[in-house]
Amino acid sequence: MSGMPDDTPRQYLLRTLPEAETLQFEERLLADDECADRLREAEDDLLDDCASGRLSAEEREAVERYLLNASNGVDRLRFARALAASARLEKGSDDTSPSAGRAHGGLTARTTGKWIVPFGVLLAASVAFALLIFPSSKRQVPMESQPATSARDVPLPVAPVGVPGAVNASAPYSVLLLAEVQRGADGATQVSIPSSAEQVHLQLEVADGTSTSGDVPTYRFMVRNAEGRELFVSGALAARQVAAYRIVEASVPVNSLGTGTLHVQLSRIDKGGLRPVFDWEVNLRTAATTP
Amino acid sequence: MADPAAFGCLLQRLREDDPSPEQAYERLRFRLITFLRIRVPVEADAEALADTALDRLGRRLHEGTVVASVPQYTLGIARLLVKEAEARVISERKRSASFAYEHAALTGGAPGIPPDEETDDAVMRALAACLESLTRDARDLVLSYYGSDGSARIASRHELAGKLGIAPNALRNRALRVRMRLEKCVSGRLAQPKKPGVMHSVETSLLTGTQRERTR
Repeated sequence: MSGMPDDTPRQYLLRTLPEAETLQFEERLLADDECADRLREAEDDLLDDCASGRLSAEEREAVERYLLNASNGVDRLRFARALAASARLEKGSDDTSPSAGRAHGGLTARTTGKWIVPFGVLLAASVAFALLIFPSSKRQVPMESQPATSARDVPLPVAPVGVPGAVNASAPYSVLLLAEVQRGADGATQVSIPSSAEQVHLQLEVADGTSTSGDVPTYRFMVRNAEGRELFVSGALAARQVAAYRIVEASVPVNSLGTGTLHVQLSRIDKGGLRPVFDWEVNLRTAATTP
Repeated sequence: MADPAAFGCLLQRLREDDPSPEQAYERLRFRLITFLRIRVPVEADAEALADTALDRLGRRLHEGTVVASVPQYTLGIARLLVKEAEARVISERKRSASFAYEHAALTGGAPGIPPDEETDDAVMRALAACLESLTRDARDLVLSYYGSDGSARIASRHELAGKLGIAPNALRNRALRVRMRLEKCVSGRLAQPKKPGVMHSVETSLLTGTQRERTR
């Protein structure tokens, strides 16, 4: 978005932008996706600065008046504190700056330090849980195929669906596609499926906000290949809440998909027809089931 | 949208500017929510107001109003809705004896954030688990992107974009999405009832959720 100074969104949020520029900014906001993104970024940065105690008295007052007073403002500030603490932990020993250990907007160094151990415990417990409870041949297909170079990269346990009890080679493999990047340029999600799998159980996150009509929304997803040919269309699906996510799911025969680049589009079924909600590009390949 | 005919008219008008009117509708709604979330008083529901604005836009189009610029026309409707919401809130606050708000403090009066160590700890726990649920790249990205502050922020982000070989705008977009996703994950976890002794990583929650579903 050319022609707009970097601090215009910040000034807009702090209500320090002159009126004429405010009106102009709002017009751009309604017409330009990037402007909306920049505004959201400025909000996050202001909350981060507030959490880190880096605002002047006037700025802090404006943040409290206009941002913390929004419906989830206080929650976002708490999140900002926690994220700042996590970023400092991540920097770890390579950050020896004097600011690294100081108190940040109420989250004290004591609190920060207290989390080093639980982070490790959680990580270790996650790995142990995944390794002990689930057989290695039935780990969930990772959402992105990266080499398992650290504990964080251990493939997730699989959730074989529709095959209660004993695990067998024909059990569908679950692939969970999260709506992590809506319009990003992350490229295709790498998914590898054992060559013996006959079905893949696709779970798609639904992140289209809350229905205001009161009706229970239904969804449909479609899988196309790189040439745009339709390979699979689901029936009408209702979303269900699992942990922090709403997902829809359906089993898809592997032989109908083939391999290579696939486009998965999730749409909401509305009175006016299908409304696209999310889409993913997936690079599907098959792999041997045993190491 | 309440009126399918009005919704159809809106999609038709959006199609004149964009070959994918459904996506254009979603993007316009997102921008509208961004504007309203910042402008309306805390009691007002920005998402509901955004839907009201789009509903009104659709009805105007259905009535035959010629809309030269959809964003500008929508902004006009949204500004009216902000005024209506403010008036409604003032009226409600006046009626409520417990509120000591002044008109001038319509969007003010926030008491700041009260110290609450227990909640801060819960947020940290939830964030730790949510970060673990991300891919390594996404996790590194969000921590690096939001890891710098003050005057170093802009330079650090440009440097990060250079390292990743992507444009700063693309990096911003990516970081924002990951952060929004994390916020959603954290609030989802905080909303869950506590179950002592149960693992609460996103994946295991998803897994046990799936298993529960299957064995019902």
